[in-house]
Amino acid sequence: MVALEDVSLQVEQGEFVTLVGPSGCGKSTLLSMVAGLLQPSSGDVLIKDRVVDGPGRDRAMVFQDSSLFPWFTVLRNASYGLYCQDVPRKEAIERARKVVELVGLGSFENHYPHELSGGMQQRLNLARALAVDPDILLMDEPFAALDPQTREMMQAELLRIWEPGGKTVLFVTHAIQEAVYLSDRVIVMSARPGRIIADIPIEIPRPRPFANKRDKLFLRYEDDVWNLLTDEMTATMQRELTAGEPT
Amino acid sequence: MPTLWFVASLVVLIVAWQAAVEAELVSRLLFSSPSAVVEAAVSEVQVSRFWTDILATTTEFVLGFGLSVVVGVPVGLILGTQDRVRYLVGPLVDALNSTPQIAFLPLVLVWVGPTGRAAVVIAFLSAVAAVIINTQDGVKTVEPRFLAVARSFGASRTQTFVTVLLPATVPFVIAGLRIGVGHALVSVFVAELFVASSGIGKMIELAGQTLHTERVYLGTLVFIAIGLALFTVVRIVEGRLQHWRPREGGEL
Repeated sequence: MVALEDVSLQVEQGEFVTLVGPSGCGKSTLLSMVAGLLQPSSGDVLIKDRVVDGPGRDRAMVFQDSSLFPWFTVLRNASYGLYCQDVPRKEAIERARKVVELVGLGSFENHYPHELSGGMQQRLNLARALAVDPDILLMDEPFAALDPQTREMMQAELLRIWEPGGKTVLFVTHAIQEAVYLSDRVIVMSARPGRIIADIPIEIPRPRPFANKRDKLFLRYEDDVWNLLTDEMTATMQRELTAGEPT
Repeated sequence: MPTLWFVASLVVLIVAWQAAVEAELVSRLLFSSPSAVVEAAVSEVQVSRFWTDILATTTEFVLGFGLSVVVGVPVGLILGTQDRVRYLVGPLVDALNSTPQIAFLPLVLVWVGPTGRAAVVIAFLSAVAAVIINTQDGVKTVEPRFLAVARSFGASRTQTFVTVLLPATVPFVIAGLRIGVGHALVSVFVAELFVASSGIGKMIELAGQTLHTERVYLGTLVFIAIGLALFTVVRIVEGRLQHWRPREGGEL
């Protein structure tokens, strides 16, 4: 089954780019390819002119919910990437402690994931990726499982943490408002096989307070994305209903 | 509260038993009585033979079961990770697991002679398949998302093994140990019936043959105590290894 077709996307260093699209449009597949977890059947992923052929230290993935290791404490989860890079234990713990503090979990170092709320778990998930100090953060619907209020708080937190760092972010989401609020560019993808149907620069100055979400400009961006998506959503639903093929 | 109910039912049972014997509703010779069991216990604890039997049974069990853990966990890990080895050896393990392992006893007696060593070997055989199969299942059911995390951070094979496979497998290993403890206890007991020298199984058998029913009960109680002690040990190990798990109600 073809997940993606003719996808060409260029992301500049330090950009926050979000992929939105109907379920099964291959946005997670695209992210996994950039992560080096999947190989494209044709074509290449290039990072600084080098072909991606596997996971690398320049990238770190923030997975969907509950990908934290339940058998490790907060601190050990956060230092996991450093452990994999054979960073000496003491240094790894020190660096992990810094990111744990950065994401606001300073007083939960020795807790286990099941003792954290959903929002705190995703803070830790973010910390684990930040600890290896990657150039590129890959985020696969990291806030999808959170309740709406926590989700909005986490969006603001993500921006607070990301804005000074200058890291490139590739972010996958279903939520249009989330995409517009976070991004420099929103990439809208079609129903399967996924293609890019629009590339919308979001020209809202940063930092972006919550109140931005009710600005005319903000709402217009939301409408734009929503209008583009509606046709694709309809197509997806039609296909599901006629072919009996859930996505 | 549940403990209270249990104690109450136990007391009722003991009182009813004693009363039935006193009223000569049942034969004192065949059914003994709680007071006779207590008397037997009081006199037995002063006899060194009693302690030798307990020690023999415990030693046989610990050796046999311990061996099954030492062998079973690594073998299970190998079978869970190496498909080819599993194709070769898996069916044998399944066969061993689906046989009543005590059926090997006559063979074991021929191999090692009618001594305590036979009990060790049969305890090992009884527990090892359950340990292997559970460990192997544990490895096979590791959540793919954890493996993806390890891969995305560039974990080596060894690192993935130590940080993902091993901890994820622990609950399954523990389940295997629990089953193994039960199997091994039965086997040790049955083996002792056939083994000439010592052990609680032997004590029960001799007492039964000479119609010392109170000592049969006493031996059974000792066996229960040993079994409970061993389950407790498994549970302590479980607590140590799984302190990261959310505490859930409804334990055993």
